[in-house]
Amino acid sequence: MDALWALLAAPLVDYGFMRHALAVVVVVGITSSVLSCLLVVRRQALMGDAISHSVLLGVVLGWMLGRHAGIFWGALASGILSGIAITYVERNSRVKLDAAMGVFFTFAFALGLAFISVVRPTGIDLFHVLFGNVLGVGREELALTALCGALVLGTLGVFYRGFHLWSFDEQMARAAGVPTGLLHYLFTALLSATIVASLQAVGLILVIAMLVTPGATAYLLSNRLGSMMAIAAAVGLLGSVGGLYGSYHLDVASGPAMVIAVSVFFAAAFLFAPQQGVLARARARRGQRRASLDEDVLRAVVTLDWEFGKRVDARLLSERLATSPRSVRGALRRLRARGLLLPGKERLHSTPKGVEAAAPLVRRHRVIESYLYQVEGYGMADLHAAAEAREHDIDPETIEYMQGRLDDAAFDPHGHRIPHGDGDLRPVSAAPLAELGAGVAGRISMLDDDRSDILLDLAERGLLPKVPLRVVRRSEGSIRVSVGGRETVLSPEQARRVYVTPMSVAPAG
Amino acid sequence: MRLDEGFRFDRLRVSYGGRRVLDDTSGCFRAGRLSAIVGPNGAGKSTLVKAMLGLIPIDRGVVSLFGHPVRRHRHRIAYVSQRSDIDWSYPATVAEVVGMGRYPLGRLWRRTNFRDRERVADALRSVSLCGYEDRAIGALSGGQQQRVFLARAIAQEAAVVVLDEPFAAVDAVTESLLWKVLREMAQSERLVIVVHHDLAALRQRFDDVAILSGRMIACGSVESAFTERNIAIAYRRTPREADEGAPRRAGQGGR
Repeated sequence: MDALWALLAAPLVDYGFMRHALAVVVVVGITSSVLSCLLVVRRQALMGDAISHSVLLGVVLGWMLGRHAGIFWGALASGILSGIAITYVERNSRVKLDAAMGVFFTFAFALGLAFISVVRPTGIDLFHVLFGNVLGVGREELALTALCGALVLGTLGVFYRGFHLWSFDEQMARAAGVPTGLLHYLFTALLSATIVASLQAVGLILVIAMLVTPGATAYLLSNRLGSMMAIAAAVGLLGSVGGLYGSYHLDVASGPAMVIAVSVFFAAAFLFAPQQGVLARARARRGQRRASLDEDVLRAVVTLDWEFGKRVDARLLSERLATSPRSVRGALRRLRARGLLLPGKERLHSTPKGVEAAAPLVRRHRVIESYLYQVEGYGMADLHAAAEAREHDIDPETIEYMQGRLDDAAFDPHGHRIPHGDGDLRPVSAAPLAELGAGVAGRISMLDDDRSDILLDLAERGLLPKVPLRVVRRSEGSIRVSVGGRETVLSPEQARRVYVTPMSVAPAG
Repeated sequence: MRLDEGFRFDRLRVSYGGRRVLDDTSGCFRAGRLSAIVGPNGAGKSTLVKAMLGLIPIDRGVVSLFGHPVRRHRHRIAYVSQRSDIDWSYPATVAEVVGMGRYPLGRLWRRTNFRDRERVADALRSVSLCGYEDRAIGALSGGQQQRVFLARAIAQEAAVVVLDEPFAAVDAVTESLLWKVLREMAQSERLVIVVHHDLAALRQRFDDVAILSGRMIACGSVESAFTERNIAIAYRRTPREADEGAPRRAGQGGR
């Protein structure tokens, strides 16, 4: 408790300048942070940079005209005028905003420095103007700062809707009669007032950080402008108060300490933000990759094992899905843990729950294949790969739409049945052509889609689902069939991938 | 307000970045009609729309809406710019963006009230985005984003709805939904203008068409204006060649 007292309260009790400094820092931290949100979402973060540099000229001119009392008004006027000048240059030439700002603020800054070098104003400490002197804040300056802060936040609150629309869709706002030009200049004025109010606390150069960093930090943490402003205000407040105490206890210049403190907040958000952070993004990407792989594996196991009664093991899956055996083993582990696959090392089987879970996946894959084939005119051989590339990003709504446009929504182009409702995925009984004897006639029911080269070859020779076919002759290593009135010879490799529903048995011949 | 006056523009000349994009362009869009603006790339389609809405300055010409200067009816204009013009990483939720359609209807310091919320919910329902209220707009698909903007236009209860290329890169579901909503809007006596790039089925989809190519080639009902000849003038030749080669304003008689 004593330690906390010594850390936080003692400086305030002991030194009046610390009390003033704390008050100023709170006002500046909150005000500049809220404004920084609008700058960040409008992608004009450097507008704060430009106006604050230009303010130096106003500080010098104001001092020349009215000594200390003139500094405030000179600074405010120069801020607003430079904002107007930058907008004017941008609107009336080919020069884009960033270049207009760059040209203008360096000029105003240089002019300010030149005046200082000639006039040598005794009341202006250049170092303090640029980098702040929060410990030198008097009662009067505190009042001025507080007034500025209240005005800025109050105006933002009143015209929130206008600024919201202006910052998101200026064209729509203008078309609907929202006075965007007025809002633009009002915003410039608010920005100038904030910079002037921050002059004592952080100085012209470091206020730039206060006008960008809290907003950028909150941008990573929020999906709403309102909550973004609240988060930015908290970051600005904690950063500047923390920086002030840091500077007191560690004897560091206060302006830099505050900027460093808010930058630490940004770094933390950059790394750890729950959605936008680097770590969360990496985790989300990995999660997505895994979910896709799990779907692919489950669909493969259920179609091959349950539907077609084939032997499936991890090695086959790794080949078919072109994925490393390690990833496949991971997917199998996850699917077993979810109760979708039966335990067991070698041959893989799905559980009833697994079949149920796979049905929509099978349906999705086959609807996409059918759509690509029937509507978009894809070739037979490219279907499987194209469907695999798309299926994980398509929403159910689109699948329904695709299905509505199919001429034949019962079977996919390979002859595989498209399941519709629950429990609709059933084992298929069809004999591979390789197992049929000579003289057997039937209709091709389906084709395996695991090898696109073989599929293409078969399709070119007229071996497609629903086509009648007759086995003419069998020999060791080849099978001769008659299809579409022509005879063609298939290798066992090919014959294994053609399934036939026999119709009648004719005498061999 | 005289609805029958529609959105008129007369002898518009518009330059953009020092280059003259539109010249001597006259025409009219009518309330209760679904109108398309078509023309080749660089024909000045978006420019015409922006000039009519007062988003860019015009060098010459007159624009009027319902018989008055456009200024008078501004809050009744809903403009949906090209999706690529919007920063979709902007921190906003679906409900917020649709709610923005309510902003121009009152003073800027007005607070959101019950009626606003009701209108937003209705608008989301009519574009099938119920349940998406709190999604970030950046997380939506292109088609869904377009539907959010359409919902914003609905929530605005505008008399004039102008959409710039709403069909660019949207999914099939969104496309059919867009047609349905636009048709409904036209049927409820709104003035609907769509900048469009696809000539296919134009005759079935739209009531009126303006064919542009640096100037007005033809403007009027699709039956009279959307002719082989006008299309040829607009698309097969550069505007300059068309100026010299074709009879001037070939399609104007169609109105």
